[in-house]
Amino acid sequence: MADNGRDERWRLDTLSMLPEPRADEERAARTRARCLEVLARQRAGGQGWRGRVRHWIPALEAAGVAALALFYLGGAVRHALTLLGR
Amino acid sequence: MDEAFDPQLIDRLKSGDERAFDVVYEAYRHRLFAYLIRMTRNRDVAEDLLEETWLRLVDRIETLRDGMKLGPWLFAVARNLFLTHVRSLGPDIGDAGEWTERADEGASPFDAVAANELASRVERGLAAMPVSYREVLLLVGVQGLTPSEAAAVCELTPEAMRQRLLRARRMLAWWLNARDGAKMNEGRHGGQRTR
Repeated sequence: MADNGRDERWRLDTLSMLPEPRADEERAARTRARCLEVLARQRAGGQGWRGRVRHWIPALEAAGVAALALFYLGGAVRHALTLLGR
Repeated sequence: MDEAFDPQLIDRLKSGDERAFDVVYEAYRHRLFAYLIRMTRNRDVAEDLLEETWLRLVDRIETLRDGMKLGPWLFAVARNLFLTHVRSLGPDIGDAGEWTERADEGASPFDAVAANELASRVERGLAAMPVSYREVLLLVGVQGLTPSEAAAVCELTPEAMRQRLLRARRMLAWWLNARDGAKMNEGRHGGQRTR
């Protein structure tokens, strides 16, 4: 019985070692080319409004951080001037 | 396999980065083909469904969420395309979930590449199983998806997947044992048989 169990496990382990059938390379290259063409078309088309928004997100983030830094810096300078004025 | 990918991969794919597409394509094209050919048992159909899977990826790239695992998503698309294909074959084939092909009808495409007899027998055992059991063994046993990933691909609960995996493993073991028994009997009575 134990032998049967071992035997069964050994054979089921074979699943992960099955040979990997290969697709036709020429067709695979054609498929890749078609996909890249679609990607390029999407890129050229600006990827729609979501794509355009995503494109500007890093710039908007940087602008936001810069504005916040300026705001706090301005506050600090104003505070320092007030203290000096006293 | 996903874990080794660049975490920004989906973002790069969305921005149309060709190299990001190539990374995904090289990582999954053989695995998806192996899955599809074992599901369809037909090289031409498997090639068609494979191409359609990749076109779906680029077509729906905007719907991908950052940080999601692409492997299970691609296998789910391939599976859905396979089921649609089976349904399109009409009522003669029967329900997609129960569709089986006769494994012993001619040599399978894998016989040529099966490195040893056991692998060849396991291939035949897989081919003889109902699709619903075959797919879970292919996804978990062959493609290395976790049971929870395979459950998501097959739209099953984790518990249902566990049960199905258990039954599928038993079914394959039973099939292999039955073949062994038949072979042994054949060998024992081989001398008495006439051809």
